Amino acid sequence: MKSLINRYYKTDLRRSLKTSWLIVAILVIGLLGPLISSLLRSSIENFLTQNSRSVLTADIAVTAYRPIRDDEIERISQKFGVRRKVREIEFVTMTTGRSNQTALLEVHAVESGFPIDGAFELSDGRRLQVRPELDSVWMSADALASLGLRVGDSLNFGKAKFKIENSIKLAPGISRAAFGFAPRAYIAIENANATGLLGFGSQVYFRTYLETVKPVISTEDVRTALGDPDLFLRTPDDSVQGIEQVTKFMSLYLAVVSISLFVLGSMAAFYILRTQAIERMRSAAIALVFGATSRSMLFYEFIRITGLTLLSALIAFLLAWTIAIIVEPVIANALAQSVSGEFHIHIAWTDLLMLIVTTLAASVIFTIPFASRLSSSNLNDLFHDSAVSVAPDRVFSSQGKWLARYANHLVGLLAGLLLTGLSIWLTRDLKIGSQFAAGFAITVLVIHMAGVLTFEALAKLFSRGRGKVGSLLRLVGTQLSRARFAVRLSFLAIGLSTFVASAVGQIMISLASELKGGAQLERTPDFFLFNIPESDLGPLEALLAKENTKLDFISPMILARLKDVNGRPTNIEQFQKFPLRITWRDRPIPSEVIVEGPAILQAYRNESGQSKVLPAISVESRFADRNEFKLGDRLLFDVQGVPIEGYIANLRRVRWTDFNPNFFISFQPGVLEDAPKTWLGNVRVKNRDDRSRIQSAIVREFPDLSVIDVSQTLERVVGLMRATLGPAEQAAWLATIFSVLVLLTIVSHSVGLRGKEMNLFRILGAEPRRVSALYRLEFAIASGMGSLFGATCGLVLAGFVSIRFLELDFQIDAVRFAMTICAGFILGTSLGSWLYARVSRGLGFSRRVV
Amino acid sequence: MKSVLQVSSLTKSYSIPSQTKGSHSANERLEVLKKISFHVAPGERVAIMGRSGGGKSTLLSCLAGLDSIDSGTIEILGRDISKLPAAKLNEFRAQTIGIVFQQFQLLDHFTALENVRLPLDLAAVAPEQADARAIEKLTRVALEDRSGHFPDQMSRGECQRVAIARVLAMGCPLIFADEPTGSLDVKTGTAVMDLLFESAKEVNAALVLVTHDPVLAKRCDRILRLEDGHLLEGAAT
Repeated sequence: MKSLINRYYKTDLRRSLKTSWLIVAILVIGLLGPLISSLLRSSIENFLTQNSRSVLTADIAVTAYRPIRDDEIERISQKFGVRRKVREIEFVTMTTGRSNQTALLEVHAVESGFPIDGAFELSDGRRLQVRPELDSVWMSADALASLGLRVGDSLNFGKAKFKIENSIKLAPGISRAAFGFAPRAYIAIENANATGLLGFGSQVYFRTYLETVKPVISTEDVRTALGDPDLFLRTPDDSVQGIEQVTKFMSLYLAVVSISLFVLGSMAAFYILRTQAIERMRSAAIALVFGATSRSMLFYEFIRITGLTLLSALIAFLLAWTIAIIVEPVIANALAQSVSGEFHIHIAWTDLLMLIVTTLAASVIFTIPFASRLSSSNLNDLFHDSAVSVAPDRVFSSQGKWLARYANHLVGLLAGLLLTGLSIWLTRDLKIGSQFAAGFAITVLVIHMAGVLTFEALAKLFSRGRGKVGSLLRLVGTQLSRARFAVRLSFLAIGLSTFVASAVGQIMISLASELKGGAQLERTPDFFLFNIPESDLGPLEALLAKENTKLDFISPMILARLKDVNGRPTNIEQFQKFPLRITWRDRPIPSEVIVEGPAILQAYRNESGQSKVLPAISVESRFADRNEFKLGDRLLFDVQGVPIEGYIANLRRVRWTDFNPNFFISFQPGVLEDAPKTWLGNVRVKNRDDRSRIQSAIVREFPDLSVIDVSQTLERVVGLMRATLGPAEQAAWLATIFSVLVLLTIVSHSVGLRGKEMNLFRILGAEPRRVSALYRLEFAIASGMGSLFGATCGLVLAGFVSIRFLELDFQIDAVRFAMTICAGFILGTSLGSWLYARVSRGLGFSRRVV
Repeated sequence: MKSVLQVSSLTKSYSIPSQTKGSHSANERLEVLKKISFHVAPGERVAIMGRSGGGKSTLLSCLAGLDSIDSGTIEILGRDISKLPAAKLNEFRAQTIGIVFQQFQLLDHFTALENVRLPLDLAAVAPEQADARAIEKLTRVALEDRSGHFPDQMSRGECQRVAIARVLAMGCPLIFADEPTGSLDVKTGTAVMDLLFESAKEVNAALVLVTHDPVLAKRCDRILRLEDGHLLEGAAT
């Protein structure tokens, strides 16, 4: 018996060798995306875990607006034990280089012993674990380039002169002073006072880096030990949060692409195995007649399919690993901009485990069509030549009938579970992964249902067609409305690939339009000024008036800590760690729109101090969403020692990319006026040739305030966007190319089934030209509709992401949208022609039928 | 009476590879049909018998213009189909020849009505007329209540009746049937053949039947035997 089955399967395997390799190839393509995505993410996470301490350069950093006292460090030492401590003072300043070129710099004055961990990476490739000498400065290569200076030159920070000793590529430690926009410069802490820039207006941060004996797992323990909420704490994990956010975003995007690929590959493999299951039933039935058992047949089939999927997984893994090794230097280079350390591709055991689980789950799903047919087959059918084409609702043996009836539901359920598991694996987040899988499943369902309904409608529409074209359309309508698995799959494949391409493309267009579009540039100022001391306001406005321009949107900036929400202390970590920058305003500025609640138009009046009405607050809508604030909520702030409470009167949407002075929290006028503050504002230069002269004049006359060149920053942001979204879009197009390959496989595999049909058409009198037109039309309509629905779903997703998450003015690129649909239409027509050519050339004519 | 089908000196051979030990393969010609001549009159029923692999189906393929011939002529209603270009041949075949297959050759995703209507749709017949004629023919084969059913929802006998209805819908003067009862039980086969004979008679269509069944052959007006590539007048055995 065993030898009979062995022989049967050896023959069977030999005969289906070509198809088996096809299945392996498709599954390799399908698994490649998730594997590369996961390998890269695991490697980056591993790298960050190993190097996050060197980013912070210590186990914890304590920052304050005042010098940190020794007794405070002592309290931390009692709890965690302090092995080493190094002080740092951070401030920003404008400086002038050659030919009056100016730049905003973030100056870090560091104590001997810095850095505790990590090292300075110099532009010449050296790594130094010491700080700069007295009276010398180490500057970032960016700063040197924008100031036109070189190593060996000198420059002034305030009143002190420094010699440029080194050009640095990467520096350890953290910064807060310039919103991340200014390049860094390092000097010795002993020189800090000599600059004269440590006054209030300069926004100075005092910091102490600590190496502890015990690891600091949570900042909460340190906060409790210190007791002062105005001390900001940072752990190594916090320091790499930015990179983790980018990694998370990219992983989410790659998950969309790779899951699309996986779904397409799996659907194609399922289609081929399902077709094979029908063909194999005859040989299985013969083996059953000669003594094999259903269980052994099922077992062997499962083993055969598992063999194919495991082989695919192995090849996919080796390929993914090779590709990851190839892109390793690119990622290492990108990470080197922020974190020092050696980046290597890391294979996580969880990735391997998930690969095996995915493979086995897929094997079970792929075996269901065979199991379903096996369970419902009747050996008597062998004598009636119908063992190969049994329908579930015909009379069969009662055992296993439910499997035949519910096979599709079972496949759907298991595929849903597999998709969810895969999404969770790729996003590394149960909630996001589940939401993602649900969203993806809904998209597939929407595209599928839209197709089914449209094809039925088309069949009805065409059913009364007259003449040669009308009768052809009538047949096309019938073919489409009974859409066979191959056509449905082709429709879905095109739908999914255009969905991904359309979504990514449209988001990119909205982003690009927002950041560099003509209309937006008109709104964008030339300079953004901050840290303006109150005493400088008048003279600054006078200077700008002389230059035929003015200071726009002048806004006060006050540091305040959110203490209570509706009378309860807030437990939101961000508010415990950092103060908020708040302002007051009597009306929204052009980059703000009130989306809920009334405008705040009048100043707050509490003449007697008896008023029970709290001051009104306007809150940025996304900030409110994130923190679950709603209209009417009471917020209590500690404004540098003074408690000030207000209620949320309105929510407003802010267009941050306008580079206007925008704030999350804006109070009603008449409340914060007495609080210590600096000012912010914008300057727009009428004649662009005057930009550099005006910037130099501001820096020369007002060395205390900080100027950001908005156009330079915009260029940097656009560059970053291109660097990120460029490869993202390429990945989307790669997915499209893969989906075309999958399509070719599906269509190619349906040649045999179509051969019989085509011959019958011709025997019944259809001219070859007419049959060709029939096939071309069928595929063109299916693909055209697939790309229409796919691109539309992509557009909806792009709109949702752009408006909801990126807060962009969503722009639809109609040309791109139309071209995507045309491409799908042309692809479908070509596939139909190709199928016709293959069937008519490869299979002969009469022999298939007669 | 003028013949509906006139075959003269029909010869057909196949090239088959042969391999002898130690030598490369070479092609050999296998002559399947040797100078075959016969005719069929309108409304006549002719059975072609012969051993399996003797070339019966090849003969039918050649007669229907589905396979090329080496030499000779096949005239249907006075037109030599071997000389017709492919596009014309399709059109001519649709107008003159109906074929009933052993395995029915119905499209699985088309209903019975749509299968019967298929040749009419391909011939660009107006939808109302096509529907009416298809329903009429389905009624003729007593399957009007199964018009919305798919082939896998019908018995094999019913499927063959749908195939007959399809041929009737085409309204051809010549019907070829290749082992039409080969996959049916005796009772169903007899019923199906009764139907085919009656229907052909009603429209005065000639019927050329390839069969192994001597009982079925005896019901025909004439029996031809294909032996060793030659067609001989003979009796059922």
